[in-house]
Amino acid sequence: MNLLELNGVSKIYSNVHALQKIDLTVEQGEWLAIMGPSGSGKTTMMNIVGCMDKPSQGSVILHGVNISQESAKNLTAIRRDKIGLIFQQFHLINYLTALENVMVAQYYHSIPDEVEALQALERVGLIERAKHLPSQLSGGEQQRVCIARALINYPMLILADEPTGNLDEVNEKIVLGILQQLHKEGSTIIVVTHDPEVADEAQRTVILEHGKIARIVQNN
Amino acid sequence: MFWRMVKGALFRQKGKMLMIAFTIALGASLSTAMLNVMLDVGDKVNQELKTYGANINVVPKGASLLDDLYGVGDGFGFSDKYLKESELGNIKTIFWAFNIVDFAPYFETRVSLNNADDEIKLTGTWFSHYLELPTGESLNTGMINMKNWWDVSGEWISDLDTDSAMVGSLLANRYHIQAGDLITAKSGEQSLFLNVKGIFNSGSDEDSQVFVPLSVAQTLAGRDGLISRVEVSALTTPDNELSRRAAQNPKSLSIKEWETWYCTAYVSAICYQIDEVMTDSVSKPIRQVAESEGAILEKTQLLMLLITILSLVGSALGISNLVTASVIERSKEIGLLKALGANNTPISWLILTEILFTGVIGGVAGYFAGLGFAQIIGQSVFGSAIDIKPMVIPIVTVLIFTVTLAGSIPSIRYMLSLRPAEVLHGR
Repeated sequence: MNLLELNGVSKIYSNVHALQKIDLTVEQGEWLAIMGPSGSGKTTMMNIVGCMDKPSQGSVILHGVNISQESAKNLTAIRRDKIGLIFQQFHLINYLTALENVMVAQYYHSIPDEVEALQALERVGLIERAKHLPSQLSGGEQQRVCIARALINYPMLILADEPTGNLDEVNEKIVLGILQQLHKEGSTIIVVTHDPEVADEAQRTVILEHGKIARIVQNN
Repeated sequence: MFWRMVKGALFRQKGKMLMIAFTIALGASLSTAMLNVMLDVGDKVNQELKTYGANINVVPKGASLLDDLYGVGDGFGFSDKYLKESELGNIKTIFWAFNIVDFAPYFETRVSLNNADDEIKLTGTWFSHYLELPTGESLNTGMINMKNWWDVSGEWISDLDTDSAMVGSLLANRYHIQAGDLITAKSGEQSLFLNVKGIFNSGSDEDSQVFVPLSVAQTLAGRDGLISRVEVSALTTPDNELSRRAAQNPKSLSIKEWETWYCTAYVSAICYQIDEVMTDSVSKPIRQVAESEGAILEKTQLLMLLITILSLVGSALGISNLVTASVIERSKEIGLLKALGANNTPISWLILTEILFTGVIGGVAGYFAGLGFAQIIGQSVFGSAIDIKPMVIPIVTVLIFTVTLAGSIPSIRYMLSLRPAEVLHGR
C-alpha cells in the first residue's frame, strides 16, 4: 500500500525550478533514500513531503490526503500527527533538557507523558542523559534526542534530513542502527543524504539532478 | 509542559532575559522617578516660591474699601478699622490650614523719629512668634520666615526685644542711623527709646519704615490687641476659570462647583475661608505674586509632563526593539515549534508569558530603583525628599504592561509570519 504519492510535483521559486514534474511513490514500511548534489532539490522535496511547503504544480498524497490542497493550519495538524522530523542541525531547544525536548513534541501533539518520553530516550540509549541540556550533550547524543523526539508521537512517516551529516563515524553507526531498528519495526523512512553508505541502508535510492529524478536505484 | 518551557526560558537563559528585564526596569525606573517628581513638583515649587513672601493680604473691611476707592488704605495708619490679634490663630483652623505656610500680623502707626518734624511709619509685627492654636496645636510664625530675602546689617530682633527696633535702609540713611544706635519714637504724648539692632534693605517701601515687636507698636498707639493687616503665605493651586468666577462672586457658583472650589486650594478659596474665621476681614490675593506663582507652577508642571512623556516613549522604543530582537534571535526555535505541530496561538502565548514575566520582574525592580532616583532628584534639585505617590504604582503597572505588550506586537507579527521551512532549512 502506498503511503506517499507524488504526481507531477514541481516547485518554482521566482524563475528557479527547484523541482520539475516529480513522480514518486513510497510504500508503507519502505526505507527510501534521496541523494543528489547541492541544489538538486532534495531539501525542497523534503519540505513538500514534510508539509512545510506546497508544490507549485502537481499533487502530493499522504495517507490518502492530498496535502498540496490543504490550508497551512491543516498542514500543521498533518505534520504533528503523521510526520516525525529529524534534522541535520538537530534543532533542539537549548534551554530545555533532553527529556523536555522530547516532551515538547508530545505537548503540541496530545498530552506530555514523562514516562513515555523517558522510554523514547531509553530506546536511543540516552536515558542517563535525560536531564542534560543540549549544550551538555555531544553531537551524536543531540541527534539521538532529535530521533527520540521524532518517534514520540508514533509517526507514519519519518523524514530525516542528513541525519548523519554532522556526526563522526561512531555516532553515525549508532544513528543508522536506530533507523534500522525503526525500519524493522515497520516505520516508513525517507532519508535525504549525501553519504552513499547511509543511502545503501535504504531499500531504494532516488537520485535527483537539477530538480528531476535522474534514476532510482534498488539497493540489496 | 507550558510552564516548564516558560521556566526553562526564564531561568536557563538568564543573560538574555536579564537584558530584557534590565531594559524594562530602566523604563519603569525612569517612569516612576519622573511621575513621582512630576506629581510632587507642584508642592516643591510652591514651597520654594513661599520663600519669596506672602501671597494673601488680610485687611479690615473698611480699610479695604478705602484702599479700593482711594488707594490709601495700605496700612499707613489712616484707617481706624482693625482686626483682632486674638483671632489670628483661627487662620490655622481653616479647611486648608495645612496649606498656610506662615503668616505675620502688622500694626502700623505714625511716629516722629528722633524728634524730627515729619512723621514716619512704625510697624509692629511678629518676628518669630510662638502661637498656641484653638485646636491645641502650636506653631512658630512671623515675619522672619516670610521676609528671608531681607539683607540685614546687624541682626533680626525677636518678639521679646521690646526695647529694640529694625530700621529700613532708606530711613537709616536719611536719619544717619546705624546698628547699635539709640533712637526715639514719639506718637502723641507717648515716646519710646529704641535700640537699633539691625538695618535692613528689603528693596521695597518697607525701607522707609521702622519695625518693632507688635506689642510695642500697639502700646505706643494705645491700640492693644488690634492689628492693621495680616500677610499670609499659602500653598495654592493655579487659578482656572472656576476660581476666577468664584473670586468675583462665590454665590454665582452652583452647589457642586462651590464644593469643588471650596475644597481646592485656590487662592480665592483660601481667602474666602480666612474671611470666615476673621471678624470683618477682607482677604485679597496679592495678584502679582499669586499669578506669577501660578504661571511658574504651570510651566514647571508642563515641562515635567513633557519630559515624562518623552522618557516613556524612549523606554517604549527600547523595550520594543529588545523584545523584537529577542524574538528574531529565537526564530529557529519558533520555526521548530511550528514544525513540531504548534499553531501560532500557543506559540504567541508562550512568548508573551515569558515577556510578561520578565516585565513583572523588571517592572518591580525598576519601580524601586525609580523611587531612589526620585529621591536623588528631590535632594539635588529641591534639597528635600520627594513624596512617594501610591497612584504611581497603577500608572507604572499599566504603562509597563501596555508598553511591553505594544513592544511585543512587531515581534509577534514577525513570528506569525515565520515559515518553518524557511528558518529550519533556509528555504
